Amino acid sequence: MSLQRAFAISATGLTAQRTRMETVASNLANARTTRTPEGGPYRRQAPVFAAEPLSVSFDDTLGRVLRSVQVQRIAQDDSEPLLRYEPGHPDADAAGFVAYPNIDPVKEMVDMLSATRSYEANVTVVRSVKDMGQHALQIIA
Amino acid sequence: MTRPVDDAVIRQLQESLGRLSMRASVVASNLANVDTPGYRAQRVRFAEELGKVGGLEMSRTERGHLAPKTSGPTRATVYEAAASRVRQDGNTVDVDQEMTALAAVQGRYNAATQIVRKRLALMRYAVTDGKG
Repeated sequence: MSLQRAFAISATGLTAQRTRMETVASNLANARTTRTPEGGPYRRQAPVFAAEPLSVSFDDTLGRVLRSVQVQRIAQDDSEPLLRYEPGHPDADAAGFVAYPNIDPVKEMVDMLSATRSYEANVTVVRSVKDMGQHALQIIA
Repeated sequence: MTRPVDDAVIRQLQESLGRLSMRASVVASNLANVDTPGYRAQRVRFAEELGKVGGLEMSRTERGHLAPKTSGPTRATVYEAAASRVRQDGNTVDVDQEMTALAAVQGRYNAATQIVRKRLALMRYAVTDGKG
């Protein structure tokens, strides 16, 4: 049944947007983290989305062009950390500067809103397709 | 193929339901990739939509009247949607257009199932001698 495929695709969209939301949460939570296991301040994370073909049978014309979305990897933003002069801080360097993560809360908020909207768009598809399936079931009712 | 209920209208609607669910999958694919850099929005086109009506014969009273072609297997062509705008990352998915397309597909799907239902109800009425 072809409706199942729409569900499967939208599910990947939901997962991808949720991952994006989680990276935003991580970035905001660590906006002032100066210590990480890798050393140095926390680095901003961003998911990289890739359109992936579905696994389909060979003669399926439509199936070969449909794309699910996958989080290919979580990229690290290697922009320079923000230096603030705080001589009293335990992580201050010899000159008294502390390296803070280069995180812009406004940018993260915008990203969060965008992820929410995209998530909702995928939920709408799931709802509509579910409604279509229910109507199909009513044929025999 | 003989089916228990071999009705031209129901057969047409069956095909129609199949095509509409394909359309829904394309919308799902576009919306899932709304934030994928470089993704081009897809559309699907069906050969049958160009006036091919199988199993439903039109009466021809003139020699010049064209006969409808008989229906073959549904041929779906997928093409890139004309981009109303291209984002900086090369993505061409327009959420408004996709939502409208989805609403249209949903409405048509529900209408088609409704007609199948009514058609079957008519048959039930007939086979039960007006008591169904």
